[in-house]
Amino acid sequence: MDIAQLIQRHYGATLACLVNKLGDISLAEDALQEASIAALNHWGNEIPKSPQAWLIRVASNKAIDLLRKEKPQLSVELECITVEIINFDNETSGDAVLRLIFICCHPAINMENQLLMTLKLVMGFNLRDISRVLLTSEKTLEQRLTRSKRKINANKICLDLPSRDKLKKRLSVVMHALYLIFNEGYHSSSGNKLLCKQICKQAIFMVKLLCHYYRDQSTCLALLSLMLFTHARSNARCVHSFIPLEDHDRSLYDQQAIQEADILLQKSLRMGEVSSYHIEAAISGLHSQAKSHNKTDWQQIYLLYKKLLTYQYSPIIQLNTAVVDMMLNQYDTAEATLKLIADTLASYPPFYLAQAKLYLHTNKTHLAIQAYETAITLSHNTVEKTYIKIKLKYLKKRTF
Amino acid sequence: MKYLCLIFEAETLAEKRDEKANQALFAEYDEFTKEIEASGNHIGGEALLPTDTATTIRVRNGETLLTDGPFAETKEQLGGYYLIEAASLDEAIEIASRIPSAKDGCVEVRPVMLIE
Repeated sequence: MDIAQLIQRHYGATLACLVNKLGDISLAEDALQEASIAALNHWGNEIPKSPQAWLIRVASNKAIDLLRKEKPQLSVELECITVEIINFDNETSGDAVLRLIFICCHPAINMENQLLMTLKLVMGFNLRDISRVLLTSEKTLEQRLTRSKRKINANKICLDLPSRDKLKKRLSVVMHALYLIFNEGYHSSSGNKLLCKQICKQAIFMVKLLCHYYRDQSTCLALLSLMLFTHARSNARCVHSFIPLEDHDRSLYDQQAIQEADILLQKSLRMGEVSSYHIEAAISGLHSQAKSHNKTDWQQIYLLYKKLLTYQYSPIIQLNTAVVDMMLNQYDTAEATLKLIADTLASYPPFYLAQAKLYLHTNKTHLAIQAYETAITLSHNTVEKTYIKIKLKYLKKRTF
Repeated sequence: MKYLCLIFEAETLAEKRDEKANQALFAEYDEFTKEIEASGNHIGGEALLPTDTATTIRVRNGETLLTDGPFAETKEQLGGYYLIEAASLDEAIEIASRIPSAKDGCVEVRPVMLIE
């Protein structure tokens, strides 16, 4: 691991400790930025025993320098801050990270910015990488970040963890943000495999942290199970380029992760409550545990999708049921469903992939070609685009 | 009679003002406040932080819904105000969500500017 990676690994926890003590995100960020530069210059000779303690110590000194310049009258108070900061251990560091996630995912911050803040502040990704994943320019991200931090500072958004009676609602906002971040990483179009994997791993790490603190919340366990089941397939999903589920080499699945996910799902189901995360985890689990694409329990997946629709209506879930219908040879039902959602999903590339599949079944090859071509035009995802182009090329070769 | 004077200004104008122009404007406000204090017309007043620090609250079916940003629709009109003291935005939101009109209208919560 090089020094930059080492810094990134400790970034979130270190920043969280600094925010906790300094009460000001921007100041904490500036100070940590300077400490990171110092680390890059000094760690070449010898990496400190506790990189995080080193970063916190240096950053808090930098923060004091920065504050002294701004408010010379505060210096005595500031000396006390330093002493407090360096007395930390892993548990307080975990507390601090948890607090920072709750700040970044405050319900008064819009969802897009919750994701941005969590990626940047808690997970320590730089804006260039985030812009590659979120497909938004660095400049726009910078503005949105500044605005969100200003909102947090101006409103004294609570540094405390939410009280027990408000926990459930606040936790669901945090979980939803982490769920979306994981999906961004998993389905990312950046084509940067390493970056996407890091994003997924960070999201899993954060949900593990939530599970550690809120053992009694079955939705947390279910979300972790969902992420682990899905992530277990990532080595088979992307070898040199994108590989669709049906073509996965299942020996590449991470069996240990699948086992862990299964235990978590069983445990979370025994707790009584069922959420959409439970159902999605069960679906992902059936895919990851199936011996092959054909041997997948499509009937069960179909029922789970139907159940999921009662929790949240979404045309994308409808689309998934249509695809499963085709796996079960229910082409008429699939066709009816596709008709139903055609307008809503008119600009959603996977819709046309499902349509192409239906056309191919009924030997309407020219319509299938058209559907693929529409999907290519609509897709912004280079990985997806390449994959469809290959399919199209193969189909054309076979036809003409 | 009591009257509430609401002050509107394009925020882009405020952003463009430099330190010197800001100080001049504050001095002007200071002078005006002193005038109405002396004449006995002054009851209270505060400057607000820009709209990008605002949160808009609606309560529908017993659930508190938050929007990140100022009140932006034109269907509703300003009907009243409360000036409250709260330890954090969470507390402010909790209090604002109990304002009866949050159930069919909305309440914009905006921090008051601290003037040192």
